[in-house]
Amino acid sequence: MNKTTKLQKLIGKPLILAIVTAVIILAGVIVAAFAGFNLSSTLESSNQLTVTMDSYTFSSKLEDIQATCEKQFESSGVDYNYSKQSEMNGYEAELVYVFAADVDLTAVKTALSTALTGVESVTVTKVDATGGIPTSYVVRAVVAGAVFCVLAFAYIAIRHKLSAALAVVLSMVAGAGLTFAVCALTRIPVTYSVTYSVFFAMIVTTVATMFHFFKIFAKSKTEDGKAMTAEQLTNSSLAVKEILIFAVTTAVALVLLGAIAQANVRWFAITALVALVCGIVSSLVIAPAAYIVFKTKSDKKAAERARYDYKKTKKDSVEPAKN
Amino acid sequence: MGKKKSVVLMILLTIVIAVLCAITIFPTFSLPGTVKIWNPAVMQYDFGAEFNGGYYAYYYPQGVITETEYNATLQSKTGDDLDEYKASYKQHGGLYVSTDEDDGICDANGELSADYKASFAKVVEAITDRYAQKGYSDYNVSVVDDYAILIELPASEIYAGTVLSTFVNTGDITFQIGGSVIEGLDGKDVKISDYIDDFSVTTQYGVSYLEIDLTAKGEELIDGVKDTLSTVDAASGSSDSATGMTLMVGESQIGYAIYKDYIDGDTILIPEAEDTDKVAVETYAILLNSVLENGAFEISFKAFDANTVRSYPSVYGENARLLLFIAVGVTLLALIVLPIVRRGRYGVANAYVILSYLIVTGLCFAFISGGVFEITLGSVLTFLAGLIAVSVFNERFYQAIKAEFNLGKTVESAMKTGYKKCLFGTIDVYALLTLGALAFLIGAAGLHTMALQALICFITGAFCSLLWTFAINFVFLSASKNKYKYFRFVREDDDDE
Repeated sequence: MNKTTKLQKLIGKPLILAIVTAVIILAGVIVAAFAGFNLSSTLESSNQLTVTMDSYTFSSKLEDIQATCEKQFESSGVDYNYSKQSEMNGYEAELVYVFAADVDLTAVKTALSTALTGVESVTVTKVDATGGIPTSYVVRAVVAGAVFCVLAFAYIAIRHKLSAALAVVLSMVAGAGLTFAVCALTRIPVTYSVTYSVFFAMIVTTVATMFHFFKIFAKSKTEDGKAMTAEQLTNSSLAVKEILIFAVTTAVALVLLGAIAQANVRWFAITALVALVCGIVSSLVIAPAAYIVFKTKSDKKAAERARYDYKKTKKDSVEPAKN
Repeated sequence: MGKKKSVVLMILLTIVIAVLCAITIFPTFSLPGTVKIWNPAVMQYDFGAEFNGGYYAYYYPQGVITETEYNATLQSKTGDDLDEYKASYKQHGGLYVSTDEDDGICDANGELSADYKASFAKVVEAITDRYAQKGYSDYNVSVVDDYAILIELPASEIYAGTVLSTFVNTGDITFQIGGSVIEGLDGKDVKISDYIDDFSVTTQYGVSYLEIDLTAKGEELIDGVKDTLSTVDAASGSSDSATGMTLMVGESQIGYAIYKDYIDGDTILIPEAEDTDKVAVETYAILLNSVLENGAFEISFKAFDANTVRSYPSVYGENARLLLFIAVGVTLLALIVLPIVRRGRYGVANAYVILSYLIVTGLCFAFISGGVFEITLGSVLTFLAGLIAVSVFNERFYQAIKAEFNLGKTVESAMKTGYKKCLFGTIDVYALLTLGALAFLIGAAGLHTMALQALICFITGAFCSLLWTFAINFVFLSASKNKYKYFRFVREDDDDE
């Protein structure tokens, strides 16, 4: 059994697909609601150890100070998330180490205050990141996504058919939802860029789904196509090759970005890859399955209407004859 | 098109694209014989904090000091003064808070006041909202040890000092003449929103104005003091005796003094800056509208010292930007080289289209930047999305042309019919992408910025896929000796011969 046949079999089970997608998205929503997202270290609450010094010490002894700090961290068994060096407009400078919020730095602070010479002070502060990603940011992103879906629905319904519009929008929502759910379930460290990835998932789903519909619309205009059922039309028009070329090209670009870049840029590339995979799965599987369901219903209604119109026309032609 | 014309056009196209590419991406170098440095367009970008670091600073309320400050003052005290000083502060994490009941942080028993904490939370919310309105793609407002605020801004904010020192104000809005609040606003239960509707920024004749829209009550109030104010001419002539009215938030003056000429009925227009420099004016408007909406807070912060603004490089590593350019560059190279290898001369035309996309988006990002949007990870994603869409549609065109050719058509006819068959599908996809970008303009901060950049990328992509690809292929094909070889087509009839 070749891969296309396997795909066709999968597409032929819309109920199972719907249940699986809904379960994954629901699981993601529940995990996000109770445990939240795994926020990146730059967004979450933290304990910060700040070494303040004058500009001269900063420019001449920074490496020694850094070496002393890291030695002390190692001997105390604490690990920092990231560090930043900053200079002030005046004559002071700071070296800041950012730790997880549950790391106790009291002993480290005391030890460093003794070990470091030439610095003004070593202080430890707790930084509350005021809830990570603001709710208003998330709400506006969700509203934007909803508006995108409405606009896409309207465009495709006017340009083509209602069934195609419904299938595209459903696959966009599924792609975005799956991205969100996978990020929540797999605890990928997220920043504001998770919303970029959801937008990216919707774009990928839209583009990839339209590859299917290019073929479907072209075939439906032929004599053979007009005689086919929705299932036959869809299964014979799957744009698997085109979608996979698109997916592989994009994936290579993202893998390159993740491989070369560091730290959080790498996590961003992974989030974008998740968005790509969810978008492609949604367009390869969910969009055609949904289209078959909607097109079958639409064809059935059209057939009933045609039968009604025929009966009505027949009745109208008989009655005048009687009269 | 004739062969000679096509060749000339090809050469011209090549030169133009080469020059524009150099303007867009040629690496930085020092111009020989001068101290000037050549910077390509990509180096003009305003990068977000992810790639370029930024600034951060702290806001400390009255009665809160840092441990460093506490220890420094402690060392200068002795005897009873030392004990008194120690008793006047209570340690809380890395901060020391005043135990004086008048400061409000501690209650009569010396315990941390819950009311103060609640008020502080509201102040943090108001200040966070001010920064949100600045439209940064990347910023952070955090609470430090419950009683101080940490603000982080991207490096693209070159007026960080102005913004930080403006948004720290939490007092009420008043108008003052000669250091005294004007009559009508000096009462205890005065609500400034009864007098002022709105603050906004307008620009006229190259000048940015802070516009104050007054209510009827406000117009009457200002009318009552208008005649006591000097005119602008009188003020510029002898500033010592000139009488101006100052707009205050708490103890801080906001903007320049207001003179008689600036008042026109229910509107006051205060010229603040040149049009190109209106960041400070916009910042004032955000602050004033915030105070208008939230009212004054009981908690006030210490005057902000611009010397305490810290600047830091990207936390993702100093080479984050360079590595990003390398990653995108390698992708670009792959999308240029692969089609050349697989499709021959059609691939070369594809390379021209890809470079055109790079040039247009690269230059748009550079020249539309500068306070409008920053380059973030989202920008990279939209650039790649547009780039890959152009490549994929070029491949789709090729397949369509090949299909038409295999039906027996000539190469030129196959090209025209192939493009025609793909045209509306391509329009559909780019229309949907553009609608998506427009919808995501609703998003905030970085998402809004990403949507703007997506708009540029998708419109450029649409131009490249719908028009430019066809035009370049038409020119190259016309110049080509062997049209079959151009597309690497083989006609079965030719094999028999």
